[in-house]
Amino acid sequence: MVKMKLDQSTPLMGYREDFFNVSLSELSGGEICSLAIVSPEDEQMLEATFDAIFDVSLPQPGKISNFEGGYIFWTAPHQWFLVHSEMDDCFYDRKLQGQFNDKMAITLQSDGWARMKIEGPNCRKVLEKFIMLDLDDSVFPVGCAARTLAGHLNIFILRHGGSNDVYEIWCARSFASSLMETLKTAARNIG
Amino acid sequence: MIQSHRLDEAQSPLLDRENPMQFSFDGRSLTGFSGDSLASALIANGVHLTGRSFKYHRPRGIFGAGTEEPNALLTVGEGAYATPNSQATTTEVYDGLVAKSQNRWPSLRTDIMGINDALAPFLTAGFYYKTFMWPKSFWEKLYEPMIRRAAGLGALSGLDDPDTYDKGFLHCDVLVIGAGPAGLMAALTLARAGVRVILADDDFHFGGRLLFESELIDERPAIDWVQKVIVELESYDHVRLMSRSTVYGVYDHGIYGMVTRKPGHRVNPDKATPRETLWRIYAKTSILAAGATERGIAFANNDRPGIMLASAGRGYLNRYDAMVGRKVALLRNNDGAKKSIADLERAGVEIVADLDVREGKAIIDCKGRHHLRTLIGEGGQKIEADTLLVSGGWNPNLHLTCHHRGRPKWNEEIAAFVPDKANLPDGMLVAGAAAGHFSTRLCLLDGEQAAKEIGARLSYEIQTDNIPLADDAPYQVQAFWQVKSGIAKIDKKRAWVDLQNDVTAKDIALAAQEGFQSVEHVKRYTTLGMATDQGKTANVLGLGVLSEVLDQSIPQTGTTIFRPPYTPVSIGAFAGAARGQEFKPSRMTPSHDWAKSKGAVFVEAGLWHRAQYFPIEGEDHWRTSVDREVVGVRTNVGVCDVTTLGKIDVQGPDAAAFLNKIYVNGFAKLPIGKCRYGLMLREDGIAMDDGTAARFSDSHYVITTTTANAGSVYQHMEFCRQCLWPEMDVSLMSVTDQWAQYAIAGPKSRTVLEQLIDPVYDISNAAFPYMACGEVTLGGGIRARLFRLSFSGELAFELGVPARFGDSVIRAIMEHGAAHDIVAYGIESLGVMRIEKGHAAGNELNGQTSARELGLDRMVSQKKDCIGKILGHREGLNWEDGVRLVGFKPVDRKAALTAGSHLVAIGQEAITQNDQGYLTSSAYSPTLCHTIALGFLRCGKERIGETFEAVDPLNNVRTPVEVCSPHFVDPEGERLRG
Repeated sequence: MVKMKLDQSTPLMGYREDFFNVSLSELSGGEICSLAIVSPEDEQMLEATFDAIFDVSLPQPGKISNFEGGYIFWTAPHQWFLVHSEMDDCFYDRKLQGQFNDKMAITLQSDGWARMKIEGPNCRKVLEKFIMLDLDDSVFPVGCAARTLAGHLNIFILRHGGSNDVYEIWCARSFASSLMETLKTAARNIG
Repeated sequence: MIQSHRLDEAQSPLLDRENPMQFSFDGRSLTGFSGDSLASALIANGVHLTGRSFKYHRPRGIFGAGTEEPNALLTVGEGAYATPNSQATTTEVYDGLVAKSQNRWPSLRTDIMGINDALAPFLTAGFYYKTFMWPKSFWEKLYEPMIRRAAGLGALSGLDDPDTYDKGFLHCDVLVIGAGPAGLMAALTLARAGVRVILADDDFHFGGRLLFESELIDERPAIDWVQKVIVELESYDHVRLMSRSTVYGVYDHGIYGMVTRKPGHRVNPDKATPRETLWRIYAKTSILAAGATERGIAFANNDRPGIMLASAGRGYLNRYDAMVGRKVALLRNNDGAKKSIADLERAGVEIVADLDVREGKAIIDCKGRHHLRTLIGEGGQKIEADTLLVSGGWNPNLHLTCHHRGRPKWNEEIAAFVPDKANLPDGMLVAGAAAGHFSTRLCLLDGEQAAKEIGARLSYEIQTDNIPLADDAPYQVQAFWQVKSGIAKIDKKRAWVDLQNDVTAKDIALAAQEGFQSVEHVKRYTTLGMATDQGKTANVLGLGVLSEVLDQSIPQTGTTIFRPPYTPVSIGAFAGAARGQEFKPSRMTPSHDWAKSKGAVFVEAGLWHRAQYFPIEGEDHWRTSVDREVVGVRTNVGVCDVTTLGKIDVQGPDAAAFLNKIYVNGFAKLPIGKCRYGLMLREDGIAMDDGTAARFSDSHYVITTTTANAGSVYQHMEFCRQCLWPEMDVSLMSVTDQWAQYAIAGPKSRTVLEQLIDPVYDISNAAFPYMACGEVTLGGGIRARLFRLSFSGELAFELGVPARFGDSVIRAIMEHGAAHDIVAYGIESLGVMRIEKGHAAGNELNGQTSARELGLDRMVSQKKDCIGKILGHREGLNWEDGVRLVGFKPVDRKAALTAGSHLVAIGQEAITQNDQGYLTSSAYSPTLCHTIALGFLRCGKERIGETFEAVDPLNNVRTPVEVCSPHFVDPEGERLRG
């Protein structure tokens, strides 16, 4: 075998740019897995197992739950996406499967998504240019997640806490450059 | 430069005299002020003549002061930035603005086509329906182009629009449309209760009609109250104030369309901010407070420059300090218009006549081609005047109430249509002048009342009784449409009803006389109410004239209703940012940059950008590159990016049972570590998609789909999982983007792979035979999946790696394959090799073919049920003489074959009755050194060796072909199992 070094690359190559009162930056690192409860009879047991492992409950529809080192959000009935920001192991799905005794359908998703962080006082003005959801505090407060469209793209949008508005937008990795262009155009257009 | 008609002393707080604006009109340099509209700046400079009319090319002047303007349509801007048909009344003046009049040649004052006016007797309404009948062929070639050139508005530049546009979404509890007294009062009342409000107004200042009047509110100029309200509204986080924003349409489920123009125009537009933004507003409720529009009165030659609406006359003075004339007369049918006299007299303008038609007074004719000079009174008396202000009453701006097909009702008391509360769009209330309440106090009360009603609907506690003191004069009006002098010579003259479309009262009478009496017919026969202003000043006047002609009431005569848009919307705004590269999204694989660096030529496959072929130096034709790539793979080894194939994780105890129902063939007994080709049928028995399923554990499969059907197959499987068989314990997850996948094909593929894969894994033929699959690691522990699959027919593998390693892995494959003369190949070569091998693909799975036709009928398991199996038994899919997939070679091996050609017996006519089948795919085979094809032929398998003609009627080519096995290369599969 010839010795070789395989480098990792992120979908947006570490993109970061500041606009008028809004900043865009790629989120990378960590591992992401989808978790799904497949058999209804396992539901309670798996929820309890999750609580025991992460010290937090599986989130309700449209919500995010934070745990030490990451967060998990609801994506579909009996399905969640878990983000472990401190993990760097492309076998992480296997490890999780072991923790759930192979009773949960777990799929590695870390490489399948491009993730963009958008923050700053004007970030909602940027988002309203291409996201049809009502992002008002009364409707989409901190801790919410939703699957929706960004222009032509199928995305997840997550709202995190902090002193400023901070949102995450996820799209399939192959659409990364289109997502970036959509966001950049919207950010430029607000001045 | 002196502005001849501007008040010497500043009166209006809305005009910034410290900020002069230089602009030009038809090359003449003029000066206005910040806060001016283009129309007010022209009037301040004594310019009334702004254009030529649509059909007769008659000189026309500024008629109104807002969105109702029918005449003053100018081309604003130059070159690619030129915007035709811009209303001077709604265009903000800016430094460097260039405006030109339209529809005239060589100049505005001397327009050659003005001859049309002399030909008016021949150019009545519908003249072109009756003339230009012969010869027939001349209509399209001569008459229509000629008429179109002679008539019209402004022209587009023909250049690409260099401006940028955007779109967006807004949400609110209440959308208040219009920021006049009713809208402001409603918004204020709601805002104080904490309701989420968007207040939109098409003007660049809030205040609506109050900006144009000299009224007092709370004993102070009304503008003070407006500014106080705006300051308060701006202080609320839950209120969004949007000026320069026109709500142009009401759509289903409380969605409103609105366009916002860029604040502040620039000579050199800043590309960073869009010229217009189109908003889709999701509102729980709305209040339409769009005000009302004054209408005219028809009399002979009432279209002369200098004749304008009374409200506009005083509006230019009150808002812009601009005097519309020196000697002004007034013609009216209501009391409200008297305000114009008071306001103008206060500014020192001479009022030469106040003619109230209710008292039998009128204007029967007037003179002054380029500008009004003389009015002729009802008794023939001449009145010297440079301006005539006309008021024929007011029409509520109820357009948006009609967008869900609501029909307004006639209110005789105010001689106008008002919205019918019974058929408003869901959630909409109407307040103020838009509802037919014409005093300021009534508008304020109505706005507050609407807010109260909405508060009750949305469960907000609304505080009322905050109405300030305001004008409450009653609106006294008597319907009056057209002056008839009783003098035949004068009554024969044209009295204008629709200034923008050159429709006269005579045209309406003619339409009625010719049997077009329905208001819808009159509209289309005469063009009344069409074009950019959609008859804002003309519709009701035209209807009034028609009702007089038909001697019936207006309710008996009917009304037309309105569709979106309320005012014209740029096509660019509908496109938003979705132009050029952003017209649609693109999908790139992780190796895209690498492929680009290798000079790949890309092709769009759906949204994916896929490498089609990789030309190298000296190759100047795609075939040369493809032939080299194919030979390279078949001789040595090649690599192709197949990341785009759909990949779906299927997990759960019922995964095998689920796949058994989805695919025609069985998967329950597929051993772990093995792959199997699978075919899916649609419910109707037609082939849907094909791919492979690889089993990684008892309860875990990874299936692949074709690139094109990745989304639809996933959707289909989710539908089956969620709706058809919810009892099955199975989970689906797309992993198309998670894994970068490369096909490594060719006799030396194993050798290359062995250098990449960690040595612990044995991929020899014995340990990892054809159709094996498994997890492996690369580069000392990096996760990967390996599949022994072959689309090319060669010994081949597909290597999947987490996409983060996709770029470095393909570089490593190329690097380690270099010693074995590895080639990168694109989907063109992939296509050639699969045709050589006889693998069906999209051209064969074309939505019309069954498993039997594809030669895959033996795959359909008889031991289990699956989607499409029952309907696959239909007679029409099982004819013995039905088509079957076979191969074709040209009899003359130098001949080319074209996919799509139909097959007929030698010498037979190429007609449906003789059709024997068709070619689906063809390619030049560098392996066989001639063209080959796949296709469907009746009883195909029994006709191998026979000869037909492939007919390509598009190119008028008939090519003799020999029927053969579809497997041109390695029919026994020895290579791929090697």
